[in-house]
Amino acid sequence: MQPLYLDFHGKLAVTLHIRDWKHGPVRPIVAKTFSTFVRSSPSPAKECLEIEVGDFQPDLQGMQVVDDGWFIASEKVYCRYRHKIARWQAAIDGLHSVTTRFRLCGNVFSFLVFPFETLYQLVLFKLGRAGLAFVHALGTVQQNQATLLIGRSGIGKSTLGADFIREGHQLLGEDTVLIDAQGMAWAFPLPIGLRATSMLQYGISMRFSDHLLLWITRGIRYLTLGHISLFFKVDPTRLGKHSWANHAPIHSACIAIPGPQVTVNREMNSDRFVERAMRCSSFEFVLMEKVLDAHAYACSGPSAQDWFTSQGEILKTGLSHAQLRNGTLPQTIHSSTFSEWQKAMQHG
Amino acid sequence: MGDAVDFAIGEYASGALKRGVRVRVHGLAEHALPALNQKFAFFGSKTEGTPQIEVKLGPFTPNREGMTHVDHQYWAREGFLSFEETIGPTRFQCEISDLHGPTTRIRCHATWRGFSVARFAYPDLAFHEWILQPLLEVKLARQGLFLLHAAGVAQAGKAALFVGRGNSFKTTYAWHFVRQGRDFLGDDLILFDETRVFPFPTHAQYFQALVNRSLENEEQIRGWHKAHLAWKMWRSPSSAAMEKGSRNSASPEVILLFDRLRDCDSPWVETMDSKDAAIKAAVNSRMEWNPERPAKVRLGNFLHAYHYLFPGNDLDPHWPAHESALKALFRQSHCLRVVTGPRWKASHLDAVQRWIHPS
Repeated sequence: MQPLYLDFHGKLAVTLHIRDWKHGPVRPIVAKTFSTFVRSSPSPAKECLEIEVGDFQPDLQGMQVVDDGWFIASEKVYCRYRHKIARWQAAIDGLHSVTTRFRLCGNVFSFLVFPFETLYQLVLFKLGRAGLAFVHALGTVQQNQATLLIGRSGIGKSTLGADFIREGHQLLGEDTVLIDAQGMAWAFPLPIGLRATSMLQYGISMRFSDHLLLWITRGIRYLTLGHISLFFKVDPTRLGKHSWANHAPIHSACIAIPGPQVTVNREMNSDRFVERAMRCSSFEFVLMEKVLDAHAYACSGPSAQDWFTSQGEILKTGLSHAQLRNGTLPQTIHSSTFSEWQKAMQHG
Repeated sequence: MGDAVDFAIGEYASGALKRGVRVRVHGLAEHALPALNQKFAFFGSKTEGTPQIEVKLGPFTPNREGMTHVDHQYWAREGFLSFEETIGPTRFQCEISDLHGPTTRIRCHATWRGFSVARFAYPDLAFHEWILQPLLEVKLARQGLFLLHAAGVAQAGKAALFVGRGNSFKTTYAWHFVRQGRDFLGDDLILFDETRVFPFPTHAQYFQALVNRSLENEEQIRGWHKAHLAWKMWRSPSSAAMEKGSRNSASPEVILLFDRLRDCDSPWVETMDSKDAAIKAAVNSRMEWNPERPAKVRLGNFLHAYHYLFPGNDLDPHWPAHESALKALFRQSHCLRVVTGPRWKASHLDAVQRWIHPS
């Protein structure tokens, strides 16, 4: 089978090889998820992630047992995990080097619960190495000016974002936006509410008896109305790519806090701002955090905390560049609708 | 429903609590008392003074009036947090009030696969580990006491600590040295400040093992192994001393950091000259590393959620005081890296024996 080539903004090259017939369904899942990044030929980017899905024999020689089912050596991670009847083994080679190899093998049930979370976080980790820090935010663009709404999940980013789209903004990312040290925001488009569906998988794993009922209840809780209305407006797999922007310089960045009235706090210092922004995204990075901490425990490499510090540095330089360009400060915002947001931004 | 149960965790001087945190638990079923008493046997005494943490177990209706929706499962206002957390089959409905005040109140209702467990059993280790422990850490840190994920034994005021991830033989080592007549300091958590360590023998691991015994395969075997160790330790002569409580602190003499290599036949011990590497390993041993755990769950999640809305107070889970205290503690003791194989062997004990102060 032809490998699947992905190119993330010319910074990260991802190649997906399917080695095995039983893992066939993985390819369309990845292709659909990252549809904007699919290319017909390998990307020239230096930073490289090679994903191989298929049976493999792990070389456990000299590896350290961090805990049951987890083996770590320098630059190498091997783990086995299971999810009901689905079983997976995964190996990461060259965790902290330019080319990372990610091998994945499961049984015939595994594609039902394809561990998208692992792949997603690994891609974000590699992008961070390539100089694109991620924030858990909704990004929109109008007239080549990017607005970021940073906030934890469920806070109403998508709801406010739907208003933005109605006003003619383009979308940069609904869940995640990439930021470089020059103050440029880069798109990270995923199907709307995709993280929500991956939450559904965890929902299934939590309860034993009533899968279906929980699916419904979880679905209502995590797939908010904001997600659904956005889904019908700008799904990359439905509408094509015209409603998505690729990149734009940051014009304003707000940390969203839901509240009854609109207040914009312009006095916030940028260190505090970045710390809070990182806190929104750190929550979405738990799996990779575990990998990094385990690797640090075994090989005294950089831990998750070091990783977040380096991400924060990129973010800080990026935002200070944006600040110099625009003469504005980062802001906190309590807001519910676009018009309120606009009014608050104008009058402060 | 029985009376309130008190225990006080911290530093003791001549039988009285010098500094520490008093915890009071209400709403415990009568027959759940022994379980709690065993878990906190060491600290389980009627203590005077108002408790810093008050736990009320049992079903309740959450009141989220005037609260901000932080996340899908967290609601907060200043000093107040309400959340639902799902950890494996156990689901917690929890309300924490007066986070900044002298007495923090927790209302908690745990259900296991949809059944209420508070009625007939102490909510299992998940409550201790995921809700009580992060709060304890915060409260203890205010008094200059910290927790380390380690096991420890002591003799004549000198302590040996065993630091490592889960399943790196911490408990087994501790058990062997306790059997040789040393004092038991704890097998899961150790209380420490800049210069000394204090005993924290909770049996937490054993009860986790008992809870886990319904798991499959290796977990079951592992669980029974730990339960067996618990039973032996319970019956050993030094356990009497443990219960009465030599509540003395000890200064750490040697700190062993465990590595398990997959292809290691005979264990060896080497000195760690770099204290920074030792500290890093100790800090990283703290996070529970369990592939079965849902990826979204992390120790002290609720503190992260609270900190998002109300930053700039000492409820920050990344509070740096912990690390500076750890540095001071490690600087004064001898750090050793113990490399062992994946399975327990008698030779593991021999390798370590000469480094632990002679009895």
